Amino acid sequence: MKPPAPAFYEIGARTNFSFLEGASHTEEMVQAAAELAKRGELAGIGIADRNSVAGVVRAHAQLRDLPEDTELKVQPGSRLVFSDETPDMLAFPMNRKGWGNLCRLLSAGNLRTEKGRCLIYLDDLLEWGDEMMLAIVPDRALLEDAQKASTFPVLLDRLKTRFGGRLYMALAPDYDGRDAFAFASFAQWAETARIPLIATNQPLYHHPKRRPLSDVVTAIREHVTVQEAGFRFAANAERYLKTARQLAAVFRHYPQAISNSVRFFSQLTFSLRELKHNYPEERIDGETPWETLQRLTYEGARERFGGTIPPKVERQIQEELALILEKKYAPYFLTVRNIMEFARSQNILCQGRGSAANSTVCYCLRITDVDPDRNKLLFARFLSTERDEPPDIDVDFEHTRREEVIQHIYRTYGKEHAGLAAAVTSYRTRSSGREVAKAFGLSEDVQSALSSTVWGWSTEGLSERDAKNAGLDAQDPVTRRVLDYARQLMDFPRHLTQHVGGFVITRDRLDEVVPIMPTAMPDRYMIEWNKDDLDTLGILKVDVLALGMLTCLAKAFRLLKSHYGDQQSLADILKIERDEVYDMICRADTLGVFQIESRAQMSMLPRLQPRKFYDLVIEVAIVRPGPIQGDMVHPYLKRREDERHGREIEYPSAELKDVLERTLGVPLFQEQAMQIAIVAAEFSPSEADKLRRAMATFRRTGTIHHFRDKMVSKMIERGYDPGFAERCFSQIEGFGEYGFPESHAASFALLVYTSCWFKAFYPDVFLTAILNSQPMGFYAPAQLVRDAREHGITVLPVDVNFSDWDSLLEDGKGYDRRMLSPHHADMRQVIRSKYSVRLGFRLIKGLPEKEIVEKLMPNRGSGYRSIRDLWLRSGMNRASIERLAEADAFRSMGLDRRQALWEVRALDARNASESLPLFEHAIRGGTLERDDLQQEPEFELPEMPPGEQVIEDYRSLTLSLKAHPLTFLRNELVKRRIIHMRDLLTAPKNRRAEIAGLVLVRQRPGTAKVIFMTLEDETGVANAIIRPKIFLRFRSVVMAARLVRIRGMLQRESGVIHVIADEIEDMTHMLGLLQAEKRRFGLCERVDEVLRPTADHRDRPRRPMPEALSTVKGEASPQHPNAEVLPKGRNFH
Amino acid sequence: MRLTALDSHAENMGLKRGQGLAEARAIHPALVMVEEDEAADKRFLEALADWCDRYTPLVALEGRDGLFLNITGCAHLFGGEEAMLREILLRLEQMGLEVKGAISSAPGLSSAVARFDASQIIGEDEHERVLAPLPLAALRIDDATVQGLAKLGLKQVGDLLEAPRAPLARRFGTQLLLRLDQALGLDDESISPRRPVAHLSAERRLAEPVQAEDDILELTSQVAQSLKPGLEARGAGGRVFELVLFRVDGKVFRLKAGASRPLRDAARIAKLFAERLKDVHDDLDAGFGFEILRLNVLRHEAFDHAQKDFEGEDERHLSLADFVDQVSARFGPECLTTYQLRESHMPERAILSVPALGHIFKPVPMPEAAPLVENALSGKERPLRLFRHPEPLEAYAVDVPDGPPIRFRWRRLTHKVCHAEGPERIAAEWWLDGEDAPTRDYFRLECETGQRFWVYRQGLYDQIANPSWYMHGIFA
Amino acid sequence: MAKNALAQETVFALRETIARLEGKSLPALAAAQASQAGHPAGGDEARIRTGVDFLDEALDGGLPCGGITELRSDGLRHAGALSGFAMALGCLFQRAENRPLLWISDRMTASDAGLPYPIGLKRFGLSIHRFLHAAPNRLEDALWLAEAALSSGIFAATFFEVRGNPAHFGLTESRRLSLRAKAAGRPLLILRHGGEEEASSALFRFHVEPSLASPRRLPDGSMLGGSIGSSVFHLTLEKSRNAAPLSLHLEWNHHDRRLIALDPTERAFSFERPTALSGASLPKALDRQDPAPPLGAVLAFDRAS
Repeated sequence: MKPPAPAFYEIGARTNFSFLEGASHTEEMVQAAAELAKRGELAGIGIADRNSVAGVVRAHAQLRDLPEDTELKVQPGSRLVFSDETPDMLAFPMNRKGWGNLCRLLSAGNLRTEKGRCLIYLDDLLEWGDEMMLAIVPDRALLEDAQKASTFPVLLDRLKTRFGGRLYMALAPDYDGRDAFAFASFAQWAETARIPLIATNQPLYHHPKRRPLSDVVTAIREHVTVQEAGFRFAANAERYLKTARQLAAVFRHYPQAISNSVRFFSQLTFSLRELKHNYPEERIDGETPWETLQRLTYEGARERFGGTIPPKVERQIQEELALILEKKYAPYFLTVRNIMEFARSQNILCQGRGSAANSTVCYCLRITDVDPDRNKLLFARFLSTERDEPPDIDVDFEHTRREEVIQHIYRTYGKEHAGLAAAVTSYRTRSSGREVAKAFGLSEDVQSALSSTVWGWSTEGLSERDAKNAGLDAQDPVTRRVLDYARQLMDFPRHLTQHVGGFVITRDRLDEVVPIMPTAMPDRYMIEWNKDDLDTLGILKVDVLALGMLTCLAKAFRLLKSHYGDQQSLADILKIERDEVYDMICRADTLGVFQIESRAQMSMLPRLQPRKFYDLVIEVAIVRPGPIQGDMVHPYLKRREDERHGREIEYPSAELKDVLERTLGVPLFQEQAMQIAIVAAEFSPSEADKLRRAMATFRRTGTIHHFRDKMVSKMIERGYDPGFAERCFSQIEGFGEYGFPESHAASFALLVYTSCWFKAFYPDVFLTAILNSQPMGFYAPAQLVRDAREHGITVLPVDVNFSDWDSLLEDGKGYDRRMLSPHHADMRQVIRSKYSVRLGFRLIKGLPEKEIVEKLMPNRGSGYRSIRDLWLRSGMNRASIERLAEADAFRSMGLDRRQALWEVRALDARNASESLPLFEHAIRGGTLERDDLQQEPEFELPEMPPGEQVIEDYRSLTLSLKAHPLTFLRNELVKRRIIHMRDLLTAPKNRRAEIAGLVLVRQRPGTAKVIFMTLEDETGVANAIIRPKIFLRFRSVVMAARLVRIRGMLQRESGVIHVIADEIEDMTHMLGLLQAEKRRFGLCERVDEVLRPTADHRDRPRRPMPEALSTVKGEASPQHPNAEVLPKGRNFH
Repeated sequence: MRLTALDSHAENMGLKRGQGLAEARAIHPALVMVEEDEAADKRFLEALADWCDRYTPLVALEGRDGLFLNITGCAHLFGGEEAMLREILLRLEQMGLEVKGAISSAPGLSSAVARFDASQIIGEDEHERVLAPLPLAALRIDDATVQGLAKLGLKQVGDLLEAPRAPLARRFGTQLLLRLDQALGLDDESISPRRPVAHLSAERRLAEPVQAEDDILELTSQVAQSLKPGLEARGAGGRVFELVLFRVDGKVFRLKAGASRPLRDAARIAKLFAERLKDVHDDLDAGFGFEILRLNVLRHEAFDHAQKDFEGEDERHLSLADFVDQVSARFGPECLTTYQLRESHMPERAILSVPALGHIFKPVPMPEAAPLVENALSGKERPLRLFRHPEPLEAYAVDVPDGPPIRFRWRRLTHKVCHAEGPERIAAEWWLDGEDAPTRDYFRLECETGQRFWVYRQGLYDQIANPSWYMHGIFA
Repeated sequence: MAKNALAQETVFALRETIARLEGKSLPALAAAQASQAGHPAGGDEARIRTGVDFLDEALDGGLPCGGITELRSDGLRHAGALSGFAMALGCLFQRAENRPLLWISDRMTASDAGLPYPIGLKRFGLSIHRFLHAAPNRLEDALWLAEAALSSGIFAATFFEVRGNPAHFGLTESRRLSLRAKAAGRPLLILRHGGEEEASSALFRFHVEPSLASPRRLPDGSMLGGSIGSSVFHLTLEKSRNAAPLSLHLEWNHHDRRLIALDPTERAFSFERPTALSGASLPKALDRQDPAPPLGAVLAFDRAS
C-alpha cells in the first residue's frame, strides 16, 4: 500500500486560453484535476494563462458543475509574461482587492498595445502587485549566462523587499538532464534572498496524450510545419497535470516546495462569486431601485391597459415584482428600460427579447410589445426562485442606428463602467482543418480544398470524406493525423473579438472586475470574458444588438406615415390580427419578410397553416436544429392536423400536459426540454441548471452523456416511452448548438407578423424599406424587386434625374392589379399600395454615397440636361459618373448605356481651360446643349444587344428591370424540353420534370442532410431538394454553378412544390451567349422597345434571340466572364 | 493559386485561365498542377530566340510567348517568304510546340494575326481586311482600354476602323491610334533585337552535324578565314569574338572569347576558342551534333596595337576547397565529411553527416533557426562520441521509476556507477515514429574509474514493464 | 644558478643524441635551444601555451605548432578521455588560429568508440562549422591524408587516430609527418588508443587516463555533490625534453575553453565525495532550516581560480 500523497496544489496550469500554447480546454484541465482530487492526488489547481484571465470563469463554472463532493480548490490567476527582462510570474489574487489589482495590471498591459497583445513591465507589477500571491518562475538560461546570473539576486532582493512573504520562487522540472542542478541553483538563490520555494509542473495540457496537439499548436503559432518546427517543440510530453505523488518524487529533496503550495493556496480567499450582482446604481432620489421599478411598472401598466389595470394583470405584476425584489434584479430591469427609453426618444426602433423580457413587468416598461398574458407566456416559468439563472434580456435596435445607443451607454455609465463583452472565436471545422493541414505542410491548395469541401459551420470536424474530396488518401498517416488533430483542435479558442453587442455595465470600475482591452475602434474597450462567462458570474449584461429587420420596419413605419398618413407602431399592429396577413403567410408568400422567408420555413407554412400569433411563435422555432434533430417536426404537424379535425391530443403523461399543452404535446422549445427534465425525469432545479450549461459546453467537456443516461433511464423508469425519452434528449443536444427559447421566438414572431403586415398591405412601402436596409435577409434585391413586381408594384429604374440615394416612393402608375401575377391573385383586394418604387443610387456597385448626397442631389435643380451639364454643375468625379453610366442611369436624357459611357469618356478634367469658361458661358446663356462644347463627328456606336443590357444591369445593379437573363436563353432551353418554373404549378406531379434557373440560394437547414437549392427563371422561383447521394455526385456543380439545369421528380403537396433532383447540370457557360454581339453597322435597327424597362416583361411577346451571330474571332471559348456578374448564389446554414 | 496556362486537354475539360485552383479542383479532383515558373518560361523563350538566330540576327522577344523576326533580306535564303514561314513553323512544331506565325510588312499586324488568326502571309493590300475581324486585344493595347472599348460595343478592330479618330483619341488616348496604325502598317515600328548585331559575321551550315571539339575548332578556323577580308577592309582586327553553335535539337551555345590584341589570323582566333572549349568542356554537350556554326566579331579595333603576353600566374595556393577536391577525388566524396545540425531532440537525428564536397562553404542550414539551436542545446550535455548504433546493456539496481542504474554490464564488463545525472527525457518524434513510440530517459553516468557514459532507458516504467537500456555515447 | 646551467647543458646534450636518433635536424634543435633561452625563433617552432604554467614549462613553452604531439591511452575503453583531451588541445590550437580542424579517424575505432558527435564537440568548445571528419579505409590512406592536410597548411590542427601500434605506422612514417608539420608550421595530434610507447618523431607524448569529473558549481561557488561537472584527465607527460615524467590532473573548462591544473589536495577532496547517486547529496546549506547568512560576492559559477 502506497503512503498517502502529500497535499499539493498546482499553481502553474495553462489552458488553451494561452492561445496556441495550452493544449487543453479549461474544462478539461479542471476535470482532470477533479479526477486527481478524487484519488487524493491533488488538492487544488490555479489557472494561470499567459497575461490573461479569459479562461478562469470557465474553470469556475466547471468546478461548480462537478459533483458536490469534489474536493478541489480552483483559483483564478494569471501568468505574467513581461516584456522586459523580468522572469515570468505566477500571480494569484488573495482577495477582491487583489483581483482588482490583477485586472488593472493586465488592463494596463492590454491598453498599451494593439489588440491581442499585452505588454507588461516590472514597474506594473511593482505598482499593482498588492494583495496577491506571487511565484517567480526563473528562466533556466540563468544557469548558462553568468551575466544574467549576477543580476538575478539583485532582482530577487528588490522583489522580496516589495512583496515580502507573498513572493515565492517556483521550481519546475524540465527533464532536460539538469533538473537537479537547476533546482539546487535556484534554491540557493532563493535561500539567499529568503524566498520560499514552491513546486509546479507548469502543465500545458491535462494529459500526456495531448503532446502531439501541443506540438501542432506550437507549429501553428510559430508559422512553421511540424516537420520543420525542430526545437520549437518540447523534447518530451511531461507538461501535463501531474499528481502530488509524481511531483513529490521529483522534488524529493525539496519537500518544502510541495508543502509550500498549501501555504501559498491558503492565502487565496478570493472567489469569482464575489463579482456577482455588480449592478450599476439606478437610483432615483429617495427611492430604492425596486421602488422606482414598481412605480414605473404601474405607470406603464396604466398606459398599456388604459386607466384601470385588470386584476389578473395586477396580480401578475405583484408576483413578478416580488420575485425581482427577492433576486435583487431591479437595477437590471431599470438599466434595460433606460437604454430603450433613450432609443425611443431618438426615434430608434427597438425591441427586447429573452426570458426576462416576456414578463408583464417588461410589457409595462415597454421593454417588449408582446403582451405575455395574451400570448400564453409566463414570466415565472422562466425566472424561478430555485434556479439561479440570471435575467436575460437582449435588445434589438435598428442596425444602422445602434451606434447611437452605444454612445449613449458610454455617456451615461462612463468608460470605467461599461464595456463590450468578448466573443471567443474558436476553431471550426474549416479553420482547424486549414491550420492543421498547414502545420503538416500540405500545400495551400490542399488546405483550401480541405476547407472548401466543408459546408459552412460544420461542427463535426473534418471527416475522411472531406479528405477524399480534397484529393487526399485517407489511409495515409499524414492525412490521418491531419484529421485527428484537426478534430482535437476544434473548439479551441483562437482569439477574442468583441461581441456583436453584449454590453457589460458594472457598479465597480470595470477594469477592476475584469481586464479590459482595446478594440479596433478608438476609445472603445472590450473585456476578456464572453457572455457565457458573464452569465456564470451573474454580471449584468445587456445585449445591444443590431437587427436589419428593425431598420427595415422603422423605415416602413416612416414611409407609411409620410406617404399614407398612417401612424403605426409595433404594438399597434398586433392589436388587431388580420386574417389577410395570415392568408398570405399560409400561401408561403413571404419572400423578404422576417425569419419565415427561407425555403425551409416557406415549405413549412402551408402545412402549419398559422392562423394566430402563437402559431408564428411556433413557426419561428420549429424549423431549427433542435426540433429537427429531436424529430419533433412531423409529430407536431400531425397533431396540428388532429387538432384541426377536432381529434383529441394525447400527452405523454398528465404531468407533462401542463408543460406541453401549448405545443400540442410535442416539446419544441428549449424551456420545455428543461421542464421535461424536471417534471418527467425528476431533475432538481440545480441539476436542470447544470444540464442547461452542459448543453452549451458539451463538446469541450463531454459530460453530457451522464445526463443522457440519467434522464432517459429515469423517464423510462417513470413509465415514459423510451423512444420519447430519447427524442427529448436528442433535442436537448440540438438545443445545445442552436438553442432557441420560446421567449426569443415570441419576440421574433412579432417582427414576423409586422413585416408580413407591410408586405401584405403595402408592398411598395415594404420593398422601398427593405431595399434601403440592404444588405439583410435571404434574398438579393433582384428577388425582392421581382416579388414586388409580381404583386403589381411598378418599379422604376435608377435615373440621375429622379433617384435619390435611397429608393423612393414615387407618384405614378403605382399599384396595377392587372399586373398581379396569377398565383398572387388572392392579394387583389388586399393590397393598398398607391406608389411606384424608384430605385435608389445605393444599388449601384462602387458608387460613393458622398458623391451622390453631396454633389449630385443638391445641384440637380430642375434636372440635368446632359452629362457634361451634370459633370460641370455637380462637380462629381468622372469615375462616379462612369458608374452612373454603367448603371444605365441616363435614360431620362435619352442616352443609353453606351452613349452615356461615350460621353463620359470625353470628359476631361485635366483640361480646365475647356471646362471653366464654357461653364460660365453655359450658365450665362442659360442653356447647355449636349455637344455644344466641342463639335465632334457623328459616330454611331454599335447597338447593345438585349442580353448584354441585362448582363450589364446585373453587373452594376445586381438586378435588371429589363428582362431576366434566362429570357434570352429560352429558345435553347425549350429545345432541351426544359419547362418554365410557373408551369410547375400545373405540370403532372410525381413525374420527372426539368427546370433551369439561376441559383439564388443554397441552404442546408441545421443538421438536415438534404440541401435546398432555390432556382429562378424568368417566370418564377422553384425549389429543388438535393439528397446526399446526389449531392456527392454533383458536389462541384451544386457548390459552384450559377446557372443549372435540374431534372427530377416533381412533388406538390398542399401548395409546396419541390423538384427532387436526380440530375444536375452546370449550364453557367450558356450565360456567355448573352453578350454575343450582333454585328450590325450602318443599318441599325432600333431595338429600344425591347430594352426599355417594361412594367411586365413576362407578358411581352418574346423576341427571338438574335441568331447566327458572327462570333468574334479568337473568342471561341464558351467560357465567359459574364457568368461572374450574375449572383453566385448565397449559402445559408 | 490560379490557373495560368492550359493545354488543350484541360481546355476541353472546361477549365479556364485565371480560374482558382481550388475551384478547378472541385470540378476535377484529379487535376495535376504544375507551378508556373515564369523565369523558366522566359529562359525557354530566349532559347527559342537563340535558335531563330539561324534565320536572321534580328530577333526580338514579344510578350511572354512571342518572337519577332525581322526577315528583311533574308527570306530569299530560305526560298521565299512562304517557304521560310513553313519551314520555321514546321521545325518548331517538330520540337513539340504549338506555334502560329505570320509574315507581313508591319510587326503589329504580324503579331495580331499570329496570335488571333491562322498562320499566313499578308499582302500589302490586305491589311484592313485581315485586321478587321480580329478582337481589339490583337492590337496590343492594355486590358483597361480593351474593356473600356468593349463597354461601348467596340470589340473588333473593324469597329475602330470605322470610328472617327479624334473622338477616339480624346477618350482613349493616342496610344490606341498608334497601335492601330502600327497594325495597319501606317506607322513605322522597329523591333529591338535582343542581341547586339555583330559587326562582322560568318557562318557554316553543315550537312553533317559535327560533335568533336577538334572538328569544331577546324571549322572555326575555316569560318575565321572568311572573316579576314572583312576585317582587312576595315583595317581592323577583332578583339571580342563570339562563336555560336546551333545544336541539331535547337539548343544554341554561345562562347565568347576576348583577345588581348586585335586579331585577324584565323589560327589564332581558333586558338582562342580552343582554350574556351577546354574551359567549358563539361557544359558543352554536343548531343547529336551542331549543324550551324557562326562566328561573330562583337568588337574590333584598329590593327596596329601591340600584343601583350597574357600568361596567368601559375602558382596555386592550396585552399580548403582544393584540399576537399583533392581528397574527394582520391577517396570519393564520402571519405571527407562535415556536419549539418538539424533541429531534432533525437540525438541521432540532430546531426547530418554530409560530404564536405559541395557543403563546405555552405553555412549551417536554417540560419534563422540558429539562435534556437543554441538555446535548445545550451546547458544540455551531449557526448563527445556517439555510437552509430546504441548498444544494449544490462542495468542493475535501477532506481525506479526515474533513476539510473547503480551498476551496469556492457561489453562484458561491469561498471559501477558512482555519479549520475538525469534523466533527460526525450520523447520520440510522433510525426515520424508514431504516437506510441517509446520515450527515452538519458543519464550521464560516471564510473569509479572516471569513465563517463551516456546511456538511456527506452520507455518509461509506467508505459513498459521491463524497459531495456542502451549505451549511446561517451563523454570526455 | 650555475648548477642549473650545468644541468641544462647536460639535458641539452642528451637531447641532441635523441634528436639524432629521431632524425631531427640540428638547426631545429638550435631553434629549440634558443626558445628555451627565452627567444622564440621562427614560425615553425611557435608554441601554444596550455595555460598551465608548469606544464608549459615542461613543454618548453607550450604545445608545438609545427610538430607532432602524441596522446596515448591504455585502451579503447578510455577513448572518451583520450578524445576529450585531444579535443581540448584542438580547441587551444583553434583559438590561437581560427582555422578548421581535421579529424582523421580509424574505422575500427569509430565503430567501437563511436564517431565524434558535433553537438558534444560544440558543447566541449569546438567550432563545429569548421570541423572536418575523414574516414579513410586503410591506414595508408590515413597517412596520405594526414600528410596532405599538414602540408596544405589549412588546418589549425589535424587529429590522427590509430589503434595500437600498427606495423605500417612506424618511425619512418612518423618522421615524414613530422617534417610536413614542421614545414607547414601546423600541428598534428596523434591519438593512439591502447598502444605501447614506441619511438616516434613526436615532440611530446602524453599518456591519458580518465579521472573523476569536478562537480558542478552552484551560484555561491560551492559544489553540487553528486553532479558531474567539468571533465578531468589524468595525464602523464611521458616524452618531453624533461627527463622526469610529469603526472598531473587537468580539468577542461569548456566555458572558458581552458585547462586548469587541479590542486592535488582538492583532488583528494573530490575523491572523498560521497558515492551516492545523483542529486541525493545536496549542499548542506540547503537542508538547514534557518536561512544562511548572505554568502560573499557570487562571482560566477565557473571556477574563479
